[in-house]
Amino acid sequence: MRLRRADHRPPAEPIIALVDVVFFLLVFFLLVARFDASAPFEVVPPIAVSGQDMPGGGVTLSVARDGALAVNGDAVGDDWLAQIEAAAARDAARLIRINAHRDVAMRHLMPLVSALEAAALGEVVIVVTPSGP
Amino acid sequence: MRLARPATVRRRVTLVPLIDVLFILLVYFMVTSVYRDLDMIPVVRGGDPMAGAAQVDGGAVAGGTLLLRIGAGGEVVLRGQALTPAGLTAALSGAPRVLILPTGAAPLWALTQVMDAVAAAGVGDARLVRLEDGA
Repeated sequence: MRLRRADHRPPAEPIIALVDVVFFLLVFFLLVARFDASAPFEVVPPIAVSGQDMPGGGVTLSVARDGALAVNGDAVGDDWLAQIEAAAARDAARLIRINAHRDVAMRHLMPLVSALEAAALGEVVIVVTPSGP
Repeated sequence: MRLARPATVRRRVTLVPLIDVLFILLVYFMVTSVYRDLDMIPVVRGGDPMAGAAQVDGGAVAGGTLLLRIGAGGEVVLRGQALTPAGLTAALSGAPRVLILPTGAAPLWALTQVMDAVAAAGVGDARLVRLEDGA
């Protein structure tokens, strides 16, 4: 009796599984990423261990070390409050994030807080990081 | 005369370009993403301002309230005395209310350090105050 040899063709690569994994990874990175507009200057937030988790949404006011301002990534001048009010009108979160450099002097920061409080645009928070850069 | 139609060949949809595009997207997001762990400290709650005005008379504040001043170098001063971190913790223990008054040249990191100490001491009412312009 002659036995037939098994076919030695290599099995087809399960490429569908690879595509699935790549899709999962892609969707994961898309979901966990937060696309915040970065400021046009360097901002290193201060360190604080008592910070709370930050929700999404809201308007970001960036403050450079020398007091320069940016709203949602765009540099602004003296009309910063009008820019924030316009951006807040398009955002339902009622949250203003002050993303200030850790070395900025309070004489630059406190007038911003007072003006935002007077404008009653919602909650105002200072962005901090729980650990160093 | 009958023309012979060419046999229709069903082309298979190749997955290789799709995989290429997916890999390029994946590598793009992995390379361009910057992962920063950011938290927040509220300074003005909606309808409940924490940065309000306070009547301070000669540094003395009534009702056991502590008035902490933050100097230009980040030092914390209570009743004219600069405090060490341990001294600040001891001073804050049991305080019902704390007013934080940073000078204009005080850096933001000093304010967040004081806020950390206030939160660690369990002070329920902490307010950030500023001097009126021209004062």
